[in-house]
Amino acid sequence: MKQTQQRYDLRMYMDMNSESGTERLLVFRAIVIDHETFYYIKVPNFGIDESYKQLFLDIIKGDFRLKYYDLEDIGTVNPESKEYSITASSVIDRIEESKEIMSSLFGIDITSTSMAVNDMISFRFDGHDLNLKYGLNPKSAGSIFNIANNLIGSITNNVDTFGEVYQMEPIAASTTVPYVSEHNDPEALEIIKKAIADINGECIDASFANRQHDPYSELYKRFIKQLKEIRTISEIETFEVIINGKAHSIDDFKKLRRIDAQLYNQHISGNGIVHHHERYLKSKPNIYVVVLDVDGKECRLHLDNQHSRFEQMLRVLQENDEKRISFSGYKEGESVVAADMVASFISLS
Amino acid sequence: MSCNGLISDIDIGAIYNIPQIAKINVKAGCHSSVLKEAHIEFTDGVTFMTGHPVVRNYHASSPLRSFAGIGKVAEHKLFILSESHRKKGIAKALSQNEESIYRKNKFNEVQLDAAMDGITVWKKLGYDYANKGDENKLVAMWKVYFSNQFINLDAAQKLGIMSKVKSISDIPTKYLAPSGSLTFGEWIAQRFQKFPLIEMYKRIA
Repeated sequence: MKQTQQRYDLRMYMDMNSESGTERLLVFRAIVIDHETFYYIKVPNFGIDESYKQLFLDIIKGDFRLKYYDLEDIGTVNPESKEYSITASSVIDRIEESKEIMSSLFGIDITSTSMAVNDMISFRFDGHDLNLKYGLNPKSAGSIFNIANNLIGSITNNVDTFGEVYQMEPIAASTTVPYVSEHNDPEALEIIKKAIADINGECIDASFANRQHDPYSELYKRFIKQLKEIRTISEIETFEVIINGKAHSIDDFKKLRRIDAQLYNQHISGNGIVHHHERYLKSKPNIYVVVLDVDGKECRLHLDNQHSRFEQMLRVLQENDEKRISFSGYKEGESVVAADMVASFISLS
Repeated sequence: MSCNGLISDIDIGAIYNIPQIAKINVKAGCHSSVLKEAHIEFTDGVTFMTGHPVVRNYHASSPLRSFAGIGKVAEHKLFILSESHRKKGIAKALSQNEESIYRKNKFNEVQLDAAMDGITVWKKLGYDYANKGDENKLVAMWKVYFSNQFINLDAAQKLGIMSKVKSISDIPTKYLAPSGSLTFGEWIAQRFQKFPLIEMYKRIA
């Protein structure tokens, strides 16, 4: 686990008064390394507020200036204006120096906490036109950051062992989007390496992916599914996941097309109540869809009209409207089954 | 040395030729051929309308605030109407006269350092903040004022109103100068015990 340099978690709070009392609100937050390297974190209600962002920039760059008259001078004919400015040279000293004026004039309480974070993971998107040095078109930039954030989300939504995760400024002359985190989870990172290796080997581990009540299994499945989005970046040639300084790449994006088929290619059986018929899919005119309620969740049965038992399966479903039926088939998605058998449900109880 | 080529005493006095002002007294002198200073007092016929003379410096050549460069500048040093003469359209009427007389005398810009309620009043009269950063500071100050002063609004209402404010122009007047309560400018002076000054300008030519 590689330790990175010291950072400061700078937060600005404001008190809001109302009839129900006083509430302390977080109005701004940034992670600061030095006066040129920092990144903003959106906060509830205020997002990245421009007015507080201005104060923050003025403080850490040492540019804060405020002209004023003293109260007692205002009665004179030609009062002399004075100026308040921050004179400290280091960022942390500038933050300290600004606290009093921020409190008295702006009603802001600034806290600054030192934090050590770890290099968690980076995503590198490589291609002829994907180069920050020469400028990135807004559409590509948006896709890259969106995909990177969704990939991180697929990790942090399933395991909370990394603590808080922050996106760093991308490294120039490439499109590598790095993330740091409070803690590290080597097991989660191994799962991600496995995901990349399994995609490249076209041997996605469906039984691992579909384990119940296993957060690492869920992480594996969600991360792999999210990787499909890389195909939306038209200029991409190589995609890398960098863990502990080592790159794990996907260079044949055709393999991403076959993810769902591998992820769900399990033969299952079950039973559910016939809810309604959706008839034929527009995108696949040979597929007839019936929706079942399986233990309170929706399950979509796909019946291929080319299947030898299509007529028989459809008749059973039509005769058992709002009744329970048994089915079996191959999973094609989280809640989609390509049926190969449908029968009236016989309860053994 | 004569500086009357910058602007005549008659033209200076003509600025204050508005219905609300009964009597004007202009005292002007030359610091040099390129700098004229004027002190102006005026009454409503009974009382002086400002606590002390209005001070104006007229520069033949001075750095501009609207963009990098030099130009002819009217520097408005001090203008504080007495409380009983506020909210009567006096500042607006004077501002309109200034614009036409300064244009006639080929001034490029009016500059002032706004204080108290001037920081929002001059904005409404067509002045711009010299630094966008200063406007952001004002918005941050206003958020504290708004959070502290309008206790009848609940937190959700306040957050909703604040979320719509990106500039001073976005703030409804009732949340800048509520009747019967401290105005934003008064609140700043009371809290800070100083008058923050915000550099502003208005282009003339």
